[in-house]
Amino acid sequence: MNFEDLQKAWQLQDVGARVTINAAALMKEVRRNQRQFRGTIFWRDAREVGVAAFLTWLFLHWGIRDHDWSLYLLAFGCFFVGAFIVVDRLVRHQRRPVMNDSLQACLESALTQVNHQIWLLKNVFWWYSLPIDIGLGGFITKQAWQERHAGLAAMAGLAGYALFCVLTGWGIYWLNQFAVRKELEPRRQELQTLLADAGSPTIKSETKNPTMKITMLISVLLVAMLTAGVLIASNTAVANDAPSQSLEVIRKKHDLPALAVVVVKNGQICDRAAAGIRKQGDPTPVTTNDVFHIGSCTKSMTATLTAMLIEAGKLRWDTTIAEVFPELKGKMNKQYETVTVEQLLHHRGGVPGEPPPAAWKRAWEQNGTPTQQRRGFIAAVLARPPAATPGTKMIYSNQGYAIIGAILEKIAGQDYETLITEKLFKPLHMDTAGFGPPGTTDKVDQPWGHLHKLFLTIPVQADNPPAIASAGRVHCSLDDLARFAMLHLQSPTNGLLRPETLARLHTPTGGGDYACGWVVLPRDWAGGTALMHNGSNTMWYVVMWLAPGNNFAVIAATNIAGPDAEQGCDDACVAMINKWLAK
Amino acid sequence: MTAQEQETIFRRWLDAHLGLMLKIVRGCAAAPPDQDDLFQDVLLQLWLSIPAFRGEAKETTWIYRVAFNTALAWRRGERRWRVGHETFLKFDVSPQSQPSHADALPAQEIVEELYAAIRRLPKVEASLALMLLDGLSYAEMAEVLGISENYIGVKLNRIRKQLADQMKGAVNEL
Repeated sequence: MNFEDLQKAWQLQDVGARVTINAAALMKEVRRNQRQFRGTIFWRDAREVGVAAFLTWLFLHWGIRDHDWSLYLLAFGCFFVGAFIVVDRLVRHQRRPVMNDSLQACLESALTQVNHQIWLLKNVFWWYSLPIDIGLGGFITKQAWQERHAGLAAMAGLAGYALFCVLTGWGIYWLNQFAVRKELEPRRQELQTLLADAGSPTIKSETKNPTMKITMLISVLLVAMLTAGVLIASNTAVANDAPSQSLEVIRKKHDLPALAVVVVKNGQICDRAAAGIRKQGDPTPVTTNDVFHIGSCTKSMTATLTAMLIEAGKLRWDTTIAEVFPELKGKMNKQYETVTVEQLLHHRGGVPGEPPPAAWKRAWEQNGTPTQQRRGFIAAVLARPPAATPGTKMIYSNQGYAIIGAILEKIAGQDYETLITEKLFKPLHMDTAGFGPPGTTDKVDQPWGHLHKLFLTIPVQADNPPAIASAGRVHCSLDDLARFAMLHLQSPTNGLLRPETLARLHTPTGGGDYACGWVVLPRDWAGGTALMHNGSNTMWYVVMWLAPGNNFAVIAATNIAGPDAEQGCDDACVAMINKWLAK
Repeated sequence: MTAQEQETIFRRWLDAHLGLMLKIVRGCAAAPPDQDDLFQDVLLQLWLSIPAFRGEAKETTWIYRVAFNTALAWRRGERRWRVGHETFLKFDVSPQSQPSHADALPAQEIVEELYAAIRRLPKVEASLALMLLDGLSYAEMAEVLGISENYIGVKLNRIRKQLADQMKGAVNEL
């Protein structure tokens, strides 16, 4: 049988007759395949670019929120990877094999593609891992620097994190090289054989190109350094320029919902300002009369109230816990029996900084009157051994101030809330002062607090339980807080406390800087010592700075907590100090 | 180009050149599920190629190119983007006719053997063999493959010999 016979037999075959085909169904299937084919390609690209874009946005958002250059670096790394993928896809799309090309041309473009893919995967470190690693490296280094005093455990944690990043990077690299060996190299061999069969010279591979690597490394480093440099420079410029900024600029810079400030000079309020909104997602602007939650600044008020009861002769500085609560004898840890009111005010009563977990849980359940809640809570605190021998060490403690609150209630025969309202708020005309979250539930008649949840800012109306009311549950307007500050600046308008009593409230003991509800710090701008306290229930932040030497006070408040809130309030105070004390 | 125009062309190609497509599919894949898979790949690529078809190339040249390129890129069992599709090809593999006399090889079996022989060839050679058997000119083959006619001449001599050798063995066995 010769070739012509074979050809004749071949051409006589009726291939179509032996096949049944449903044209309409086939048409449908072709269209479905087309959709699926395009969908697969689209979602692959969208997934990769989407993840990169999301991470860029996320790190940028966090970077802006926390003013953290290392997060900018991370954002840049993600942006670079995303942009690289997009550009690479676009370039490759133009050079993709076209099926209606001749076999040789199609094979050549397919081989070029495979070569390019091999190049991409072999260099995954340079275009993928390195940009992200620079960001991660910056982030870890910055954290390590900030935590350098935090001890071995924190360092070990960071080292573990760094190791995890390195291992992940190595894993990504290994997976890519595995894909090259298992998938792409065989495909390349196959295509090269096919091309050789089709009589075409082999296409040079892209894999050996050291200049490319170096160029990419340098460009990534340069752009990263440039970005960091510009951001650091711009931040520094903003910081140096603080006095000339309005409150709104400071608020925006620190991404706070609202920021308010009040200034007292020579016995009167001389400046007040408020910027921003009461509640995230609601346009209602904050006003200078709005009420802020003052958190631990409540402690200054509790200490002041204590001093007033002492002046009234109802209590002594050295009254002991056992004197006030004889019924707790036997149930209370022995060491607490002789702890005095003054020690508690100085945070030197040995009371632990953390509440007993079971009692804290009960405090949140809020069963009974606030007075009953406090009595139950402090009984649980006092039943456990102190965190240090009383009188030896300063331990900042909400529990300690809760005990003072319970003592005052017992002595005065009134609940803490009524007592402080009658004795302190009314005489000072602090009409807006109250307890818990400001405003009406679910209404925006006053500012709301805000919580950071992941990358979101969530408005909330919540507060700590009444058990620790005397340690930090007061809210009031900044004007009212300024009136309280004026009491401590010994303004002649009120004679609530004698100068020697105030002096005692402002005097730290034991070589520390904590007096009674005030931190006493040397400050040049204050003309000597400044009195300071800040407070936050994790949804608000307030800071008070008093300069008795200058008869000056500045108070700043915001309805969110965190490093940005603290920095924003500090910036506002600095701006006001520069404005009012530089003259 | 409207979707309607695209569909008209597609249906015309399917009517006029289904045999050509099927020959290529059977020359590149042996098992019926693979043939079906490749056939669907070829149809999809043809469909996608229609907007680029301007009538400058002959329809058959165009279809050969798309079908061969798809077959070259296609790999057995690798369904990258399709999930659970229907089977469209139902090849009737039963003998169509009984041999008229004992020593005459049934034409259908010769063709089946030819397909098997083609599938044993390297892929580029297989595509040349298919075009050779279909009686394409050197110029047409050169246009499909994108290589010179001289080179095709050299290759075809070898393929003719290879096919004849393979078939000789097969014919002896039958």
